[in-house]
Amino acid sequence: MTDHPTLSHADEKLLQALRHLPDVPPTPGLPAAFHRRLEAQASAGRPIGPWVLAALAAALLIALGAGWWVDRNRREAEIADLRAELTNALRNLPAPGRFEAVNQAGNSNLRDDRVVEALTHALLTDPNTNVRVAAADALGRVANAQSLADAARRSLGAERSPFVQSAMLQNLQRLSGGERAQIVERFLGRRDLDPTVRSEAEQGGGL
Amino acid sequence: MRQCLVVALISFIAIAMAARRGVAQQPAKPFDCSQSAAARALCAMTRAVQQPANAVDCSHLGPTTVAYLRCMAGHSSGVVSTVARRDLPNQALHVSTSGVYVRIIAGAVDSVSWYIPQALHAWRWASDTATLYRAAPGRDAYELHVAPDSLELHNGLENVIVLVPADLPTLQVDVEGGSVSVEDFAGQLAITMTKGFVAVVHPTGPALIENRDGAVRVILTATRLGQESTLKSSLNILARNGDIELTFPAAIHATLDAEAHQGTIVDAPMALSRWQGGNDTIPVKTHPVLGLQDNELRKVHRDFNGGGAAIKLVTLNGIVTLIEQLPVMQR
Repeated sequence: MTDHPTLSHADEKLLQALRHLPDVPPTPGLPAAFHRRLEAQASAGRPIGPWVLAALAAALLIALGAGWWVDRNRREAEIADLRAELTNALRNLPAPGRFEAVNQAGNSNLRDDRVVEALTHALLTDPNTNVRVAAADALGRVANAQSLADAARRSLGAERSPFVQSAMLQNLQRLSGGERAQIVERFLGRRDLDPTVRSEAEQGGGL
Repeated sequence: MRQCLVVALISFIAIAMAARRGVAQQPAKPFDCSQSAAARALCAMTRAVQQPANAVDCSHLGPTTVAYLRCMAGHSSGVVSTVARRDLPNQALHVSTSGVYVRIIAGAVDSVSWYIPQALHAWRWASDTATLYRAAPGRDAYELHVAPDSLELHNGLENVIVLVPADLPTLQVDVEGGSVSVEDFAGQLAITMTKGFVAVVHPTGPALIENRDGAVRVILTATRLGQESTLKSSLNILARNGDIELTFPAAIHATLDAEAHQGTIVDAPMALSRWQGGNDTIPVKTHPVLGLQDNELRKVHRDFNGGGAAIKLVTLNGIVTLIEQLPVMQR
């Protein structure tokens, strides 16, 4: 039998032998090493001073400002390029080339008054019906409500092609009910309308 | 009680969908090739192009020869009475016609050429750049005007063949009445038709087509041996008071947007028989009918094989028919 009920006889003998071993003194360098480690941990947990926070905030603001400035310049350059390409295409290219340029402007993410102005010019003056329809579709994507309403008033007042008229009528869904009704009412006053387009205007104009 | 309502609602939706499908599956009105001389001309011009077995390879014939012109035009016999040609001063050609049935074919020629497969004994040139006319008793005075960058054909000329260089960058065609067919053109193409029929066969460049009063037929599949059926650029078609028929190869990569304001959009092979005089031997793939109810703007958007070149078809008063033509190996 052993003193401890859970230990075997061999373990009890080993425990008795260990109790008779002499104590081991600590090494001479142990206190210094302990204090160095303690100091390191204390300095790591020290709070950051306010000047460090201010510097970090300033650096962040500078970085954000520089990014905004670079992005704005890049965006301005893209808009200028797009408008130049569109204007050049509308002046010099045959109809398929003008069509592609108008489509590109309509599919870009660059919503700018100068691009909208060039598209409106194409809508009102291009001799090819397909190009004018593409300009109407493009304006429906990139123009704001006010620009779209202005373009619709001018186009639907003079445009003779039912294809272009229909495309602009579909764009009117983006306008408010009162403004849409006003434009459609004026459009329906024309006597030269295609019956299909007249029917669509009556159904979709909110009248 | 709630379960009964759900069952009733589902049944109502199913019945409504079936009724809607039933309306849409009504056959499209047949196109009558004999309705007018212009319709007959268009049917004749495009009848053979959907039969690749009949396609001919003209490349072995010397370009700019009468034999080559005759081969490209599909005339195996007969006399080519006149062939005139001139060098292109610039990179664009403007063809304007009225009351003429004209085929414009892009081929292995280095200048614009044209011929009229009729006996032209009474014809004569007023000058090289002026007018070719005929004023036989009891007949109209036919006119053909030539300018440095334009070609005008007027008054009842039938089956005029115009060959243009395959690498011509731009072709603009304005037609007031009659029929026009443009085949295998790879440059930028713009066609404006006031009244009549337009066919465009195997265009590979960007194409803008407007028919203000009549039908438009476009075949995107290759029509001659050695050609590839591809559409590399956008295709835009506007038709008022006329159907649009689009035949495309099964492997095409394209994004389609179709609108029918007063009419239907169908996806069926039935149109083949009406265009080919009842000899429908072309296997095609049938899709569910796309048309919707009447009195409603119908719009269809579809990506073929993942999408690609943009195709937009708009008819104000007509039927849009889509025909997917299977490749030769699957027949």
